[in-house]
Amino acid sequence: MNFSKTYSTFFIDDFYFGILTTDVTELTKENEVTAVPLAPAAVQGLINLRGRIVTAINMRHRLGMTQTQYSHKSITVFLEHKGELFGLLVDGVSDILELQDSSFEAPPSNLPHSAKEMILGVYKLSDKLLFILDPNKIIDGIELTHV
Amino acid sequence: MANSDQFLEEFLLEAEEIFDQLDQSFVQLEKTPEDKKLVGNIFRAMHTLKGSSGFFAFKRIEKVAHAGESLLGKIREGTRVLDESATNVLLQTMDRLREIVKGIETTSAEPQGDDSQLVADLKTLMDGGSLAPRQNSAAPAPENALEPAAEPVASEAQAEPTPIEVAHKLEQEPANPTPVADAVELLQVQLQGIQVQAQAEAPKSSELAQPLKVNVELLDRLMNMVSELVLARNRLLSFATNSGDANFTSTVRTIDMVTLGLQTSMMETRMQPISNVWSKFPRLVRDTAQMCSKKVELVQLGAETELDRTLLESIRDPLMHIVRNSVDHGIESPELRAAKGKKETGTITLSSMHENGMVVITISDDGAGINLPLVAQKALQKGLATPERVAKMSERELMDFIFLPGFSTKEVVSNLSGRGVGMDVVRTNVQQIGGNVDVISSDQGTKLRIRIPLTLAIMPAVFVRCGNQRFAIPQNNLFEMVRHKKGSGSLGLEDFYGVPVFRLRNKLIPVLFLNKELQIHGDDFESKEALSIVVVQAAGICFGLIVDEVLFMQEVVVKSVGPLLKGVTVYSGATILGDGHVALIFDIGGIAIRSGLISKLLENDFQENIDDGKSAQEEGQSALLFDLINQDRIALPLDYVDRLENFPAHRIERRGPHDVIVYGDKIMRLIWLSDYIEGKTPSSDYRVENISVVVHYHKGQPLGFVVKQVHDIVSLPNEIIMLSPPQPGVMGSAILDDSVVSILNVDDIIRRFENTHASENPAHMSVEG
Repeated sequence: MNFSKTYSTFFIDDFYFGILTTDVTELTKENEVTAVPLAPAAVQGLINLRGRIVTAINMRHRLGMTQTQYSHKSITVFLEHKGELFGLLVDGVSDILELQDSSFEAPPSNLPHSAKEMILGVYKLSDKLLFILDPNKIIDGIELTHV
Repeated sequence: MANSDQFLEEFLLEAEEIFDQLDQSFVQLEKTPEDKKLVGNIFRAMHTLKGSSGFFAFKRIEKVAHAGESLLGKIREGTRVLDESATNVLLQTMDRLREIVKGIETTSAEPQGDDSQLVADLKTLMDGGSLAPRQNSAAPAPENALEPAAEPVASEAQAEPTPIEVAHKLEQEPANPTPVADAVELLQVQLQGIQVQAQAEAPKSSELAQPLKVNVELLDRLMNMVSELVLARNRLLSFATNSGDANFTSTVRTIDMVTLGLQTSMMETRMQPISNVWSKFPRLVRDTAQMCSKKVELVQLGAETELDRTLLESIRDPLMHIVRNSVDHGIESPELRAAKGKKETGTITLSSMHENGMVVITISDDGAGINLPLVAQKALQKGLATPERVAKMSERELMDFIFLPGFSTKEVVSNLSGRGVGMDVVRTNVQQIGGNVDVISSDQGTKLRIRIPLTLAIMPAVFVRCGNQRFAIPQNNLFEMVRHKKGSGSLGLEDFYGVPVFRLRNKLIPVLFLNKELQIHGDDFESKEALSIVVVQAAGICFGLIVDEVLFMQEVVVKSVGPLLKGVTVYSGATILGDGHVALIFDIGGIAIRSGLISKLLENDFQENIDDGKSAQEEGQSALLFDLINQDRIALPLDYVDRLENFPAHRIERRGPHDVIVYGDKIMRLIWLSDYIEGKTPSSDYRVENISVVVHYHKGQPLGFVVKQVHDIVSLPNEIIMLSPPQPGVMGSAILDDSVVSILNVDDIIRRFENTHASENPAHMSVEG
C-alpha cells in the first residue's frame, strides 16, 4: 500500500518549499501589503483579501535568509491557522506535486536551527530537494519571538 | 431526544423573557396598584410559566408558580390589596422561580430545594393574613408556616401536582383545552399575546417587542459580507464613472442604492434600545433602597435610545454600579432629606440621547452630592497628593480622585458599595469602548455623564499621514487639530523636563512625534513652516501628536489586526479604505502609555493650565489673520467671522451693483476687501480659480469678504496703535511676533459698502469683462 500527499510548492530565495495543499486556501499575487510599524520583524504587514484583513509573513525573514525588498508584486500563499487567515510572502510559485510517503525523509541536520524547527521533512526530487513546511510552527513561532 | 432538548431550550428562553417582563411589571404595579391590566398580565405570565413547567414535570416551579398565581388571582379579583408585603413575597416568588430556572439551565433538571415557607407565605397572604414586616430574608417565620395545614399545595411537599394543574387549567381556560404536549407553543402564543397587549396599553413598552431571535454569529457574518459588498461597490463606482455606458452606469447606481440600504439595515440589526439594560433597574433601585431604608424613585428618559448591542453589554455593569451608588451614597435618608428641606423621596433620573454620533447617558440624583473636602482629606491620607497640590486643585481635579482604584469616601463598608472598587472600574469599562465619564456634583445632587460611541463596528476617524503611510485616529479621542507655526526656537516647541510641549491658548500641551513613536521615516519637520498637531485625549491626559499631514475624515469599518499584532498596543484595529488599501487605526491610549509620556509628566508634577495671570494678559482679542493683494498681515476680529469658505470663481454672479454668490438658500453679497483699504487693486487681479471668502452675517444676510489668503487665528495684543492720519477701513495696527498687523474696521467697511451701492456708484471694477 502506498500513501501519498499533495503539496503546493513555491520558491523562497533558491530553496524549494512545499505545504500540504489541504492547508492552503488560495494563492494570489499583486497583493498590496500595508506595513505595520512596531510589528514583529517577521510580519511584513497587512493584506486586504476581499474584505478580510490578513497578516502577511515575510518568509525570507522567518527562515533567516537574506532580505530582498518585497515588492507589491510578490506572491502570497494564504492559509488558515486557528480560525485566522495568514499570508506567506514567497518569491515564486511552482507546481502542485503528489508525492509518495515512502520518499519522505527527516530534515537534514545541517539546516540552520531557526529554519529547522519549521521544516517537517524533505523529499529528494530528481533535481532538487523539496522542504516541507509546518504552517503551525511558522505562525506560532512569531508569537513567541514577539514576546 | 434532540426534540425535547430543543423544547427545553425554548422553555428556558421564554422563561427568561417572562421574568424580565415580570420584574418590570411588579415594580410598576407597586406604584399603580389599581392597574388591573397589569395584574392581569402578571397573572397570565405566571400561569404560562406554570403551564409549561407542567409539561416538563418541573414540580417546584409548578408549585411555587401556582401559589403565586393564586395570590395574584385574589388581587385581580380585588379581594386582596397589593401592599408592600405582598409585593415583597411575590418578588421573592419570582426570584425563587428564576433561581430554579437557572438550575435547570445548568443541569437540565430541577435543583433540590424547599419552597414550603414561601408557598405558605403566599397562602397566608391569599387568605387575607399578614406577614411579619421585613420578610426579605430567607429566615423562616415559623408561626406562618403552621397556619395553612389544610391546604394540599402547602402541606404535600412531595405531592404529584399534575391533577391540580390539569384541573386548574380547565378551570382557567375552558375554551382552550390545550394538550400538555403543546405547552411550548402555548407559551409562545401567550407571550406574544402579552406583548401585543402591553404594547397597546403602554406606548413606552414598545421596546418589549422582540419578534424574532437570530443567531448573533449569523448577524456578524452578514455584517462582514455587507462590508465586503460596500468595498466592492466602491470599486464598481469608480469603473462606472469612467465608462460611458449608460446601461452599466444605471445598473451600478441601482447596486449602489441597494448596498446602501443593506448597510443601513444591517447596522440596525446590531442596535438595541438601552431599555434592555435599564429594565432591571427599577427592581435594583427598589431593593437597594429598601435595604438601606431610603425612599427612592427612578425616572427613565429616552429608554428607546439605541446603541450597538456589544456596547450595551459593556455598560451594563458600570450603570448598575452607578445607580446602586446613587441610592446608597447619594440619596440621603428620609429624615435627613426632610431636615434639609428636600422631598422625602429621592429621585434618580436616568436619561439617554444621541448627540453628535455618540450616546450620552446621564445618571443624576438629588442626593447629598460628593463630599469634596472629604475627598481631599482622603487623598491626603492615602498620600496621593501633597497638601500644597490639593490646595491648588480645581473641583474637577479633586473629583478625579474618585476614579482611582481603591478610593472610597464611605466611612463604613456596606455590602452594597463603599469598598472602593467601582468608580475606577466604571471609568475603565467606559474608556475601553472609547467613551468617557465625567461627574458634576453639588449639595443638590450628583450628575454623572457617560458618553459612548453608537457603535464600535463603524466609527468616524481622522486620517493622518506619517511617512508614506496613512493612519486613522478615532474621532472619540480627537480634541482639535492645530497648525502650529514654528516661530522661534526648536520647532516652536518648549521643553518640559525633556518632554516637548506647546502652548495652546492658555494650556500647555505635551506633544509626541508620531514618526518617532512608530520608528518610521517621516517628513523633515525642520524644513516645514508649520507643524500639524492633532490634539487627542486618552488615558486621562490630553496631548498632541505631530503628524506629517492631516488628510481627511471618514467613517471606517473596524476590523481586528489579527493575533500576531495583538501585542502591538498602539493599534486598536485596522480598516479597509475605499481604494482597497489597509489602514491601521490607532489606540491613542496605547500610544500614550507606550511613549512613557504619562509617567514623565507625573514625575515632574506637570500642570496643564498656565498661570492665570499670564494667560489673561496674553488673551487679547482673537482675530483672523489674512493677506490681501499687495497687503499682508491684516487681522479681522473673530467676532465678525462666521465661516470660511472657498468658491470657484465661476460661481460669482452679477446682480445689480453687487457681485453675489448663491450661498445655501441665500444670496451672499461679496465685498472685495482690497477696494476698501488703501493700496487697493482692481478686483480683476483676483482672477484665480478659487476665491477665499470670510462669511459674516450682517442683519441676517450673509456678506462675503473676499481675501487673498487666510493664514491663521491669532490673539491680538490689547494695545492697538492708532494710525495717524486715520486710514480708511483700518482701525489701527498692532505688533504681533515683531511685525505690524493692520486691524480691519469692519463696521466702517460695511457702512461704506452699503453707501456706495446706495448711490449706485460702485467703487470697484466689475469682474465681468
